[in-house]
Amino acid sequence: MTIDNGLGPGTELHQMYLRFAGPLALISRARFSADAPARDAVWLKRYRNFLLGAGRRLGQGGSAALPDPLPNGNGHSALKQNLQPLLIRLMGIEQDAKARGDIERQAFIFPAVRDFDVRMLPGEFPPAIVFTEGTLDLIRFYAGAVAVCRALNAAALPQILEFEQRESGNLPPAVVLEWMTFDPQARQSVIEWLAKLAVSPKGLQARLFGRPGVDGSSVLATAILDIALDLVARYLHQPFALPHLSESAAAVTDTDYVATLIVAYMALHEVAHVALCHGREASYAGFLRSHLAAMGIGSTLGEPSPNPFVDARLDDGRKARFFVGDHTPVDEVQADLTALRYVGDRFRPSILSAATVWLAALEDAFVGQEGRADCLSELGTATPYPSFILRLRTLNEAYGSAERRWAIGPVLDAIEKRGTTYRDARGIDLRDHAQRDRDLQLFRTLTAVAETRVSLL
Amino acid sequence: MATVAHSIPITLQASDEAELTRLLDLSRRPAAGTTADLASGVELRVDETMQSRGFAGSEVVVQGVITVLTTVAAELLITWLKSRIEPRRNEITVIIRDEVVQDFSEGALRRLLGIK
Repeated sequence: MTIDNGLGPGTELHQMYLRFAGPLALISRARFSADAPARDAVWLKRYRNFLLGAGRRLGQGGSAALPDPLPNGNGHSALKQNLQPLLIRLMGIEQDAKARGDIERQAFIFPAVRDFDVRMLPGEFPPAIVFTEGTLDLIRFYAGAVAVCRALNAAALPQILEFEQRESGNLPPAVVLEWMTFDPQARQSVIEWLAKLAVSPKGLQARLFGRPGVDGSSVLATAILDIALDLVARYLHQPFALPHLSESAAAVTDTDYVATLIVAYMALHEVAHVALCHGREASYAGFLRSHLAAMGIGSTLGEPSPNPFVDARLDDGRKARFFVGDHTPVDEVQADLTALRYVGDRFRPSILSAATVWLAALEDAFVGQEGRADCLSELGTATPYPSFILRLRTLNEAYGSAERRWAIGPVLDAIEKRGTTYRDARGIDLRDHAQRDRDLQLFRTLTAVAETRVSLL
Repeated sequence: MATVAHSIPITLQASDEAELTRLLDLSRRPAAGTTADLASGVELRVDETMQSRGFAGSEVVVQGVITVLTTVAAELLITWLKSRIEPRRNEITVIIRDEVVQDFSEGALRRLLGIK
């Protein structure tokens, strides 16, 4: 089955994105510098203080080397300049002065920190929303990897099908990219081989194409494909969350666009945290009950409901989507649901796809992390943090079309069953930026080679 | 004993609220308006408690003001910081006047607290 997940070009959303000239495209052209706008300097100082203490506890390194002041510069300005108008358009609140003003006044900072971190940063209300530079790099990297997978999917579908049938004896309902389950030992040897090279597009190209008697087409079928798959597989046990795409959608992919949608989803998720007063002293449970009680549905809390999702209008005029099928308030799930509720109907499928890609990508990296709840009934008992698979299921259940839910259900089952595959295969630790940076360089090299020699992308 | 009535903005940060509750010897969570006697003549008033929620984990942040009534109390505050915070510096972060306390020597603490 083929469904269009809305991440391809040519959609209304993609056209709108192009009119913004691409927030991430802009940020990638401008490096961070120390000339932080004065209004952000206070937040940047607070974030530096926050990391100095919290870095170790959150598993992030490098706090001792944090520059003072923490830089945030041209790239930040370009992203912020475009991100907030994009969010306003996605939310369809151009004519709603109050809601638009809330987004325009929301502080976003993009510190030049290599660690993976996205959060609400307390200090005053509303709290600032933080995206580290390392997070933006990682998102861009994932988007590039998704593009490679989609291109390979289109280029090598018969081989994929054959491989999947050989491995598992059956085909999933969507062509998922777990066909990259090559021998972990072989995969690792390729990674190590690449890492030992003085990697440059020119050097790798010479290495791969300089052998006598090897033409471009056979290289496509062997070296480039194998190596690209190896690398991509390490990051993207995840794209099997993508039901495979139509040929036309797979033909061209705007990776900055996909990356921007992921950033937009994450930004809306954090905006929802702010709007829902998450982390505030006034308990969220009380906040939720007061809203639901005002709607005359407070009594449904804690009781089984045929429809566990309820939309409510917040004081700021925006609407939030609440999960009321469980008596435990769940901040992350609520923020996900509300983020997607913010998005207008016509853009929601694309943002849902972007959120699915991103959450599926994180699932393996954080699998087994202590304290993450795998089902809703566990939430709020020992931990406020759900597993990513739980968030994936909840989001797709709440917003996926019947067709999408049917297609993605077995894919989510497969993700859940993977267990420790990723770690066993020595997948990267998202929080280790040294690994990430090394592989990012390798990946860019492969992409460059593929682009010049075989028009893979 | 000289009276000084010194007010010092302070932020306490930890991964777990219970950690801060224990630190402040409170019987309940450090909500806004809560006061804690850190030492004789040294009082912490909590202005707000918030969680900073991220994709990878959360931190609890307590913001408040320490009031030091006398010069003797100021000395006790330094003792409290050295005895209660320094041994747990990996678990608890203290930010005074927008500076993270990393040096727990008496001289550094005096400078940070503005105590002569």
